[in-house]
Amino acid sequence: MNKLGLRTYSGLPVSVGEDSRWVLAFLRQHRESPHDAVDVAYMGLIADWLGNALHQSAQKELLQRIALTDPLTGLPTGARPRSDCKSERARTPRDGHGFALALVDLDHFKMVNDRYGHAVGDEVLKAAARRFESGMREGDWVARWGGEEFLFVLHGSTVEEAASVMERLASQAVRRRSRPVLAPFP
Amino acid sequence: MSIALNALWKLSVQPGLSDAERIRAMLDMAAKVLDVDLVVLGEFGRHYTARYVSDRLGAFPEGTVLMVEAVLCHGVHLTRSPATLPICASIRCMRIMRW
Repeated sequence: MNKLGLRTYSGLPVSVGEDSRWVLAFLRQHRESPHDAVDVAYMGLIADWLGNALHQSAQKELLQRIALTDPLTGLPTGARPRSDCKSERARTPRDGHGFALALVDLDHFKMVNDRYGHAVGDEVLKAAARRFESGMREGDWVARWGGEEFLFVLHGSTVEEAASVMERLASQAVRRRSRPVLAPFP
Repeated sequence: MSIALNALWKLSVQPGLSDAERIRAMLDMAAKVLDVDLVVLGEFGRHYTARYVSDRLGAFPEGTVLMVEAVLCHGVHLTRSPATLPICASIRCMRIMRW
């Protein structure tokens, strides 16, 4: 601060909901006398306003995250995969690498729901999502497109490479299917 | 000051600004009203990060990360109380004057 030639410092804590990590600081070069009472009151007003603004912003982000995340699988859903795909598309000319999209549907999922109930169907979806996520390469992502459909984005992949990744994920799912699925008894 | 408060209200309800733009505009306005050279809204964590900055001097960019103990605001963060003080010539003196 001395290097900048600053002479006076005023700092105020900023409360962002329960969060007390924020501090607002005012510094000036030209006067060594402290701010007067009116200035200090104005600073307090600004600090309160900023605390509210940061809190509202955090709440908005939280709500958005909840709205765009599938509560069952924890995967992105709704408008988020669509907007993420747009971002991927916009980035493609810049980074010079394309990406492949794959839409995957779970075979016979309706039969699972009909025969074992929706609680078991939900567990199947959760297990499938976990397996898909754990089998992804770094940077690639998967979203729940709707129902039992999952959208995959695979960076730098040709159609053939994407098909090979999908085959690998499918064969992993088949290899593990003998494990029992735990579901609450209705 | 009533003009400044009026401007504060206008800015807080002005449409078309993102949250970050509104916060930066608020800091710029406060810098003008209070005639200060630098306004920093910083966040303490493992380090101190200057999240939003209004800087007439062009010397303290947003995103600056500093050690918590090296920041003047450290005392305010610890005590959760406002503080106003002159900045002395030496670091040692700054520490004494702070609290």
